Amino acid sequence: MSKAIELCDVSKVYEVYRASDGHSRSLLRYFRREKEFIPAVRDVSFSIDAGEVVGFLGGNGAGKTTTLKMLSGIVRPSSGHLSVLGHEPFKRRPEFLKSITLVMGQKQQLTWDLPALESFHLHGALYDIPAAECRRRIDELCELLSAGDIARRPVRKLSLGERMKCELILSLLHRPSILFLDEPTIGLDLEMQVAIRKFLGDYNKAFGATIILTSHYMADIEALANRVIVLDRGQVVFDGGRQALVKAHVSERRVCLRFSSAVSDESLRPYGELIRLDNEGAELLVPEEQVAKTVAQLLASFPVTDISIQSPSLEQAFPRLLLPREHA
Amino acid sequence: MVALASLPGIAGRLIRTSVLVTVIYRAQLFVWLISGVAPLFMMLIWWELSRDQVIGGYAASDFVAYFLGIYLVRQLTAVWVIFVLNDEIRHGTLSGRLLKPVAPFWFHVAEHLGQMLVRAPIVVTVFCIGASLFDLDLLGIARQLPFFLVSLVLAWIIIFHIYYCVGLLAFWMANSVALDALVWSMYTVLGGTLIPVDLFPEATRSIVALLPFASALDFPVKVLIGKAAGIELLYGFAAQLFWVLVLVALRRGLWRQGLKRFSGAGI
Repeated sequence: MSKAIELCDVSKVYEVYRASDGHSRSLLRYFRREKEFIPAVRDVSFSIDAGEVVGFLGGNGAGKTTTLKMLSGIVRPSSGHLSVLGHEPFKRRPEFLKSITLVMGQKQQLTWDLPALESFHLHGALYDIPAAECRRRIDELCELLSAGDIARRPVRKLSLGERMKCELILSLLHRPSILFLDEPTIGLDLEMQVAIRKFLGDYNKAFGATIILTSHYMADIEALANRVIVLDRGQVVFDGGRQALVKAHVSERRVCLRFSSAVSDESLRPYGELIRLDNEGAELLVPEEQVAKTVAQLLASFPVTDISIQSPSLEQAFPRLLLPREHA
Repeated sequence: MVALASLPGIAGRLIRTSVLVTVIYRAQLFVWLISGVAPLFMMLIWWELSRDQVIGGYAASDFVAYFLGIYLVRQLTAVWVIFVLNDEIRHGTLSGRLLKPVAPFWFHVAEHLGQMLVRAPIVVTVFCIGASLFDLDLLGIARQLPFFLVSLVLAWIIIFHIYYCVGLLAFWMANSVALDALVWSMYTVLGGTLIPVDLFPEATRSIVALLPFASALDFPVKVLIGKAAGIELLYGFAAQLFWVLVLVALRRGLWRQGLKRFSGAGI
């Protein structure tokens, strides 16, 4: 499979002026400012095949957004080699820009005071899409996202979810082959999150598009990405399959129980790590190899009315990956 | 490069967007038009002073024509790009524009042109009413229109680029709008809003005439009222072309260097 994206030892260092506390020091800095160099991304290397969906994970300030900014050509890398569809992104050649899109959940590209439809048609002109074809694509995307009539209302009158739908339509009108998605579901309700995930998955399948996704909602990553790249303090600390990440870092299963009468926490503790006990029931973390034996014992020893065993999730695995480094 | 054939479509859509936004903010447009009447007050002052005497070759009717012209040119070449650029660079919203296959510069140009399309009929009407009230030779002014329109376009390019270059300093400074007052006062004083450049003291006049501010304001006004002819007309156009070339090169250089420093803050 051909490589859509290749990074080799890419670093980005931001130059910032140090702020001072106290009036006299601030005044002094007015005449002599101290520069500070903050490495946001350090020697990052990876490659992504065309059509792959990759999740970027990392805490705040891990370097995810800076990497996306470098890949989309907004920010120039300080060093290293970077290639997207054979282009050097920072040169921002029109052919390159026409084949990518960047959706930022917190920033909007739509004209605030006008109906989104105006922005769609402007986008169509900018990307050289014939008017009839542009109208067809708008109708198609509106239908896929159940956007209906919202594109005819001024953007400032739309809800956050409706705006996000319009942002997605705008970003995909030119049929980009690479999608950079930075927190695409931030602030949206569950129903809308599910709809957008499904839409992105369908787009990937229909057009074989490469998708790079950052999100604080693990459900976004679990629904879309098979491969995960984890960044921590500007460096890649994991690059591999989502399942591999979970397996490597979570060796327990979550056992959820419901009881017909009250059960004490002392009586449950010998069976595993008790993470919840309330009127609804209890949740235990049980080592993978002991699940069968423990479940049998629980069923025999407690008034169990319902039991379920949950597979380990990315949500459990991700903090554990970063934990040892944070303590280091 | 964007295909040549698609340029009219892109320009049309960009300008249409700007016109639609301008119409929504029509109240702001009128406030802007009213706040730009300073040259009309200067006109009344100079008209009063010159009623019984010619000052520096300007009779009362010349002053009226000159300051009405200043009003017209200032309004038709109004530029607010410094605020747009400063905001986009500081808050990182420039990122969205950088991702488009058309350079951000053209978005800014279209935004101004669109608003000018809405503003121009009103400004021209005010000018014509003023000219009729003071019994100016409108036919004579109409004869100057071809040269005037060329000088007006060049003047707009000059002042747009001056503010664009200052706005781009936001790549290096925390807030480039701080320089707006400096540019505004130089443009106002050295461009001729208070005193026609011809009336400046002999020693400073030649220097002032060389600066881009006179090319952006005083010169097109003099073309309109027929006070620049022959060699002075040629000299004026040469000066305008010189500043256009210098400022376009400066803007491109600042853009290239500035972008290397851009961090897309806020996204």
